[in-house]
Amino acid sequence: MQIAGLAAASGRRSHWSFHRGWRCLRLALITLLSLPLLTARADLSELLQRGVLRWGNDAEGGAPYIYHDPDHADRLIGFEVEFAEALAGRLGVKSEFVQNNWDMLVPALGDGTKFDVIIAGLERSPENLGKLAMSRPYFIFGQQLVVRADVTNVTSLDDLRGRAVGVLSASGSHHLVERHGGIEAKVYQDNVNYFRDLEVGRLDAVLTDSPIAQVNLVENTKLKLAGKPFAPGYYAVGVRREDPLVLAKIDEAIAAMIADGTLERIYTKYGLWSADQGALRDWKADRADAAAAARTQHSALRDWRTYMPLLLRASVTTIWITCAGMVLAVVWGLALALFRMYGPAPVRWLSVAYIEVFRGTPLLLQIYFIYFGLAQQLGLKLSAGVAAVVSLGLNYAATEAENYRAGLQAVPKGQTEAALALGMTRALTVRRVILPQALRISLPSVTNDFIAMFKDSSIVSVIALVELTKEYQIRAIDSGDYIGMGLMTAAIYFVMSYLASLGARAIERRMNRDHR
Amino acid sequence: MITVEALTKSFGSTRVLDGLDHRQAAGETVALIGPSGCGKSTFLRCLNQLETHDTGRITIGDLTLEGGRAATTEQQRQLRLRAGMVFQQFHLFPHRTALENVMEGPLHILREPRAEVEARARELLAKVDLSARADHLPGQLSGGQQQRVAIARALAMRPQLLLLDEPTSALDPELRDEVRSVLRQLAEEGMTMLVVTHDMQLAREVADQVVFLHQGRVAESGTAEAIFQAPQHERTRDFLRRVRSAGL
Repeated sequence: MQIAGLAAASGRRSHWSFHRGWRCLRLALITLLSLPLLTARADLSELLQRGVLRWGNDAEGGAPYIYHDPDHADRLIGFEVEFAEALAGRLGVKSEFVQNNWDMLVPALGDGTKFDVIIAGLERSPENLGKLAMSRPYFIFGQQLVVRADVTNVTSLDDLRGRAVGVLSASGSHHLVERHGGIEAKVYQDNVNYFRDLEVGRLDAVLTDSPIAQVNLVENTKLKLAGKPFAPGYYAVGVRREDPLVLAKIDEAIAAMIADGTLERIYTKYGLWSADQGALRDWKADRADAAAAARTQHSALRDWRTYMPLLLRASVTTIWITCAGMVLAVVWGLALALFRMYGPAPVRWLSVAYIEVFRGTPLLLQIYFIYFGLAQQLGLKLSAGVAAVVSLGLNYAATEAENYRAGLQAVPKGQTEAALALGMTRALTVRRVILPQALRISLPSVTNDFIAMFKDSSIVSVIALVELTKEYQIRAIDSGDYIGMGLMTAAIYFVMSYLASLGARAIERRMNRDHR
Repeated sequence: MITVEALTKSFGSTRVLDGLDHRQAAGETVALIGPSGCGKSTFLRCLNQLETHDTGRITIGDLTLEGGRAATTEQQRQLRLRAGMVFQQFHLFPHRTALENVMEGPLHILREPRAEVEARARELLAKVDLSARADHLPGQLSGGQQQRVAIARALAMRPQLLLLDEPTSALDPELRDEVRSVLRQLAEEGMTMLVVTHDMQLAREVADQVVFLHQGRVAESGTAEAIFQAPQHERTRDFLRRVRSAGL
């Protein structure tokens, strides 16, 4: 859109400059696009020549996959770390770990500039095979339900109808819960926080890959496994489709590591070996895999009938947390401003301290503090929605307080004198004379913040609240169409902000009509 | 009615009021004149405690305020209830109509019944000839109209004394007459008023007594006629000459 606008603008000036502008732009685009070609590409000869296998994973993934050695905080260990090292050894190259957010690994693999392969508990699922090539499995796992230790009536997903189940975003568990239907999926970015929310009672169960469940429950007496692992799945190495030679080499290496007991040795070390893993040896790719692999990514725009309702439903969450957050911010902010302007000294200091602390620390940190911190330390278990509203409200209150203060200070001194001369007390002067005028002055800044909050509200997705941005993330990964999904999401944000903006101007006009 | 004894007030090292004495009977109108910086506005503001005096004593009716920190907020408020104030720049409440401006005090400070307050407010607006403008906001009124609303707003509190700080100075010359005639009428009705002014015509028309202030003290006082026709003090003569040549 911007490019078209630019070209149109230069076209209006003159034909010559249009051509020149377009040529420059094209040159810039070509340079930009060819940059990755100049840097590392992950074809086999290139990889072998470089002598390094760069593998993507998320170190927040946790035990037993990849985590920081408790004895050496700067060293990463885990069965996937050792698997990757053994695999690289087989290829005759070194192993290099590349950090990437787990749910963004597949898109980040892209054209192979950042890392060559994904070794990150990536399931050999139809969803994933639709997006990239995958090696033969290196690990067999099942889906495992986890519940609180005192729960006895849950053994399968069917027992969880209408209940809240925590899952990792874009994982096999996530898809399973969604396909099952009737269960509220609470989506997390990592494999740690859902156990915490299960402990404090925000969730009824967690569905996760069996290794995660096993390892996390070793020292945890508050939680227990519910039922047997089900829906077996395979972890496999994710490879670019454009690198069939790399894929073949990796398949060969994995087969050899199964045959010579390398995998058994690694998995035993982490307590993950069982007879079930023996099936790795006899694994054969079936036709369904090939069919899934043949299926190309689908366009989110063409399938808007599927995705738009999902996005709109999520935008309802965005709207209500924004509106409720703003109500809190407006009311609490006003109190803060009045404390700061007219309160006795200690109240004034406290108000200033509050404002500075909340404006001077990241909103994200405040959300973690309010959602996880309060639950852990004080047992104050706010739901994700309430925590989101409270965080946004408390944070924005500091900004609104400053808006109000600017308004209060902008009311001419003569107004105070006129009110006092009439015989008003201080309090009455503020209430009847200063405040009504100050609010009008502050109104444009406050309404601007309201519109800004629509966008800032996306940050609450970190506490398992699926609002518009989170829904976008989930669906973009599903469909693989980041641009189409992004355009739809942006359109919804735009419409919301624009309507809010129109509403704000209408209120301002109305107020100004009464006040010339 | 008003007794002011040995009033002093300093801003930093500048002594603005320097032992000022003033007496005024009920029903009397006094015009306070003098060059800029002579302390006349400060004096007026002390009388309703927008400034606090350092030493000396102010008595209005049955209420006496000693200088220094002796006066409590409540005493100050009591004084303000007795002494209404009209400002040079009107200072009407811009978010309320003319009628609401006049009703504001009785309704929210005296907590009188709304119907009663509104009836009296409309009467007062009629008195200052603004019945037709009752529902206008200050921004929709001319300066002269705003000042008349401000006078009505002060009168609505039924003060024993009306303090006016240069009530015609911010007005175009052709609008001053409307305000002068309102004040003339009030003087005739026996309102006690203290007017700080540069408007010699206003002083002549309304004042029973003219007081000339110089360097924070009363330099000369007398009837308007006596002061304007035969000023005794050299400073008064200087001042009047300058005022007349400026065409005021």
